[in-house]
Amino acid sequence: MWCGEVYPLSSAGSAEEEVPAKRYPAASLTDELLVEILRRLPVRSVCHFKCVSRSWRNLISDPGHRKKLPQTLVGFFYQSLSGERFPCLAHHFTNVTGKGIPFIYPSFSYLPVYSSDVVPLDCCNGLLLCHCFQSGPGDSDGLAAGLAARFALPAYPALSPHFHVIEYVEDESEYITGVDI
Amino acid sequence: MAAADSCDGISTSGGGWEKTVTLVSSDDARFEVREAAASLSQTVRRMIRAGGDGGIPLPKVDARTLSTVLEYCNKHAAVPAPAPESSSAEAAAVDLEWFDKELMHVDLATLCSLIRAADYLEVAGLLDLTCKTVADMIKSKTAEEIRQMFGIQNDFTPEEEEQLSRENAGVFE
Repeated sequence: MWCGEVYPLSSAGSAEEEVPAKRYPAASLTDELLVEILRRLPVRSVCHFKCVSRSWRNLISDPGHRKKLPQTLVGFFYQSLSGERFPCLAHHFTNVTGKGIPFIYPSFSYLPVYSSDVVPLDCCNGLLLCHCFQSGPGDSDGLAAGLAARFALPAYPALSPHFHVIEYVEDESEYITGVDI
Repeated sequence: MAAADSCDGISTSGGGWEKTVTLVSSDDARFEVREAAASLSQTVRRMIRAGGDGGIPLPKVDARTLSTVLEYCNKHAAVPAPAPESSSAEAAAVDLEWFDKELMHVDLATLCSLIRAADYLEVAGLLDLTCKTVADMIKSKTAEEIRQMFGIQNDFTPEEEEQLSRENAGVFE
């Protein structure tokens, strides 16, 4: 039976490492390997380590790496109602930091069919389930349609190159009558 | 060494026949290892398929690091896959966990060498284990401690630093 030992058959002695590499062994890791470590950290540590240096901040903020790294809450959807404007009801998105342009535009202008009333219902794994009302020909009450769209798309189009909008078409009695991609 | 020249040879060990390969480190140390264990490295597996004489050269891994990588491979390749939820499967999992823990009792320099080697050799399990270990080491550190650990200069202006800490405060407090 094999005993599981390793047999060095000959050894020429280990080469001397350079002094900086000895002093800062972790400095020898490539960006890809740093990301491999960062992705195994809690989100709080990753956000905190943006303060280490510009290169670490860029590494953590890089859209390509962001997919791998743990994510924090981005922001909130909310509605406002005001009789002094038209339409009275408006949808908003605010970043959790309360600053900067919103990561998501609540008008969902990237949807294939325009609707003035898109309501977010639920989200899961970066997908956002919305409900929108769309007037159909000869249908004064409008058709109700549920739409699923990639949550991250409006802010980072490069993140979701293979994104599709799935549209469930419901009739007036709320039965699903078709699915479009 | 004459024995080392038989690459991809068949050799005996304790009465059983087992196919072995010879791996050659950057500092010309030669390691004879079971093919099943060596094949945990996708890089080595491809090189075995490609064939060749005189051992498989691994110019990016020194003998000390390769020895630890092979220790990991030997242990993990030796574990049979018993029926899940059986008591022996549980015992094997506990034993493996203990082994991994013991293997990671090394300094940061060794860990970093192991990460680079696991990446180059494409040993997914070892890459995960070593990266997790470093992540556990650094997760509670301050930005300044990370700079010291990685030999990084703080190149932010005081204003930028202030803004970043405000952003963090906005997220977590």
